[in-house]
Amino acid sequence: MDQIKKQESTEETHKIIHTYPLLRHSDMPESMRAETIELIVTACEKYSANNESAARIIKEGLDKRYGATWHCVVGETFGMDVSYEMKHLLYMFLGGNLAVAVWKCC
Amino acid sequence: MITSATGGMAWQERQLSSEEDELSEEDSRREPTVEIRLNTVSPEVANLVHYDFTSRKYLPCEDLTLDLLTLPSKIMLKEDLLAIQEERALVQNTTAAHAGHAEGGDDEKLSVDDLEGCEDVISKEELRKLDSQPNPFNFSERVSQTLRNIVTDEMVQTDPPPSTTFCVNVGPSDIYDAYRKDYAKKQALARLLEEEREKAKDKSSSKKKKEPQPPAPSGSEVALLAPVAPLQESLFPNLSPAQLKRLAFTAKILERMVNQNTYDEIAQDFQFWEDQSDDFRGREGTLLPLWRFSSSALTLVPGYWSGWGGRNATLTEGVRGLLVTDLSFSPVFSDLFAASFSSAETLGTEGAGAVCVYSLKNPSHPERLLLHSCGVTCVQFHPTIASVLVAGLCRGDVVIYDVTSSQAIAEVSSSACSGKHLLAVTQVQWMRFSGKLSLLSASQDGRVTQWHVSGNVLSPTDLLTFPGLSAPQAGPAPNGMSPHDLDGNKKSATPSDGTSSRISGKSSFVAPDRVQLEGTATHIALKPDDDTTLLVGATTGAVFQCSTASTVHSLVRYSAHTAPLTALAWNCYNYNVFLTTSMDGTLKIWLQQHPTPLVVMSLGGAVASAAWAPYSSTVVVAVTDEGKIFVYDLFVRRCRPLCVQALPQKKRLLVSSLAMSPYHPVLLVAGERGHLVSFKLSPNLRRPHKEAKGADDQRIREIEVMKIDRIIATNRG
Repeated sequence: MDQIKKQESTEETHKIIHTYPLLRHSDMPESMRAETIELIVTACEKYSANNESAARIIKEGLDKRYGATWHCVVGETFGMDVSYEMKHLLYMFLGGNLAVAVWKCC
Repeated sequence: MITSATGGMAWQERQLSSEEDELSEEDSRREPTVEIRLNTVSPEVANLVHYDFTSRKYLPCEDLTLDLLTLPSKIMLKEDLLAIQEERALVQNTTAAHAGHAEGGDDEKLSVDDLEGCEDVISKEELRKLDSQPNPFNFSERVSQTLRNIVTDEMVQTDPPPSTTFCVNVGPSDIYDAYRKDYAKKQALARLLEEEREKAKDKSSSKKKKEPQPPAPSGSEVALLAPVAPLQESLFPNLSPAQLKRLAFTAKILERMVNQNTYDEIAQDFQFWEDQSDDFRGREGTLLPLWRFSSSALTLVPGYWSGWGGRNATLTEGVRGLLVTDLSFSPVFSDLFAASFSSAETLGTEGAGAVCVYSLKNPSHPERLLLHSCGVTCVQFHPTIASVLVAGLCRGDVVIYDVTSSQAIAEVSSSACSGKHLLAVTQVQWMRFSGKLSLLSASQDGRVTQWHVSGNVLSPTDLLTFPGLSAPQAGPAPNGMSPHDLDGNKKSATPSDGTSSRISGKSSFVAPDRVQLEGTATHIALKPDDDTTLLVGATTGAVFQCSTASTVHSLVRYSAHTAPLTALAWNCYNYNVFLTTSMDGTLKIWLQQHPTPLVVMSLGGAVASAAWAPYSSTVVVAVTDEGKIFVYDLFVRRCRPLCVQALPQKKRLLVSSLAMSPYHPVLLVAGERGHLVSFKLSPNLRRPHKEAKGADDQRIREIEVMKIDRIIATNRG
């Protein structure tokens, strides 16, 4: 009995930490989505300690590629309710503890 | 009398009023007249005398001044003006005017308006007197009334882009849950796949056709084949092979990083930048230069110089000698292309050559480098197997490579024992539908040969034999050719054969089965949907259509050009249309089985190469050997190109080849000195048809076919 309990406890503590980019929601066209995810991953890896800089890089990159005006949220905990131009939204998780949302709206 | 007018002139002004005191003061106030007189006051005049006849003696000239010019004017002395104003101020003071006008005598800014404003304090008479005063300012007014534009407000309300809302709340727990769920889903999927695979395994015993096994490289190429490893070993003598392998991998990543940063601007241009000025340019477009691919890597490889026969050549000499002979984009990978290089100026057997497989992501160094001890004349990627490519050599070899890994490049070569070409191979082409690996090659020795790959051996079957340069008969004589076709170097072979003499005489359409081959085959092109129909271009400028299937060749001869052919390509949408270009400076577009071309375009110089754009059925890109690139869209207009652009180059160099990427609007142009440049076609050059907007692939294809069909209908005549 004791043994079984012990096993259970070790199973519980053994957690797998996922860090791959996980797309949660997007209505972008395929090529745009791939580009955006790549940009987000690059920016967040470059500025892993500074979400502000990462958000700035993402926003500026998207503005340059797909025209103004993009908005970006990078953070662990946030809530939002935005209106956005259709086919210009992407919401994803990254690195296991980071959520990134980008959308276009004037 | 003035005898000399050389003396100095001086302005002398005199106010009459001050001189003539007897005039009434009021008069002088009303009309202060000034005269400006021009007279002479030269000191020399004092010495002058004149002879008086009445007194009979010389007398000195008395009145030395002479009025030359008298101008009545309204200029007055400043002191006088001050006096007038002083008096006026006095008048105002006495009538007890408002305080603002009591500034004193030095007020020079009295204007008529001010005076009118205080009408009640100055009597009418006084005012009239003031009116007649001269304007203290030199005042002139010129006014004209012009038409005034009427300003109106006009507004249009446009629809805003459609928008929706998105609402989300996220915390660490949400992220964790999402990852857990996704991971579970992935695992389930993987399990499912595994099960399916096992099921499939059980059902069918492993019966899979495999690609040719990497054979052992043979002959003299061995030393040249794997150049990268020896280079690294010489650089890092302390490292073991395993370490070297890891180092190569790391170095590759580093190289990619450096390139990504170095060529970031170009990459951004390539992917996202569209030339906005095209909107104002009508139909014309431009070519934006992108990467310039470097071939200097070739010269750094040990073994390269051995190809020069031990000549003491310098680095620049080596690069200068390089000629890019052929380009081929990978049909599978969007960024990959192969270029063949030849160091010899002519297609001789001397010199060195190479095939470089470049990626658009790395313009500074090729991904794969396949060196040869003789020039490489042509190269082509396999249409479906991504890593397999074939190259033709100056020596007459046809070599197949598998370039999956940079460490071990597999190679299958034609051997001298079993009917390889005796002179330089001019073009190679894979066959698509034969099931096995097989390809066609054309050579300067006059043969057009089909090669079957079985294991490590290439077995040839001769399809056609052209009279060629020297016409040495190597392989077995091809079937279906009448004897006089084979021996005939001369075009007007036998007088009895009326047809053949007619061909050489004038350009007429000749019935099949009666056509005599002439010149040597330089270009071959298989029909895209049918492996049995083959076009062969010859040095004489003629194009022959023949069949690879039947032993009795049914030939159609198109009298295409008067000079050697330089390009031959089927249309990507309508498989009955092909283009030919030639050194005679024309580009012609043909419909199959029609003796006259649909369209003839003169480019004003020997055309080096041409290609159909893969995205449109009517866009043709051609380049002259001087480096002028022409882009035509037959559907938009036929007489003038949409774009003519010269290659940006410092020195004059000959251009030899051109290729269009099947995935991107990117054009490659290559020539002498290893010159290899890519261009992006501006939006005007790839503008889709009106109806193609938002259409799916099937519909776009239909529209493209419709476009080329319309060209055919209007030009068939």
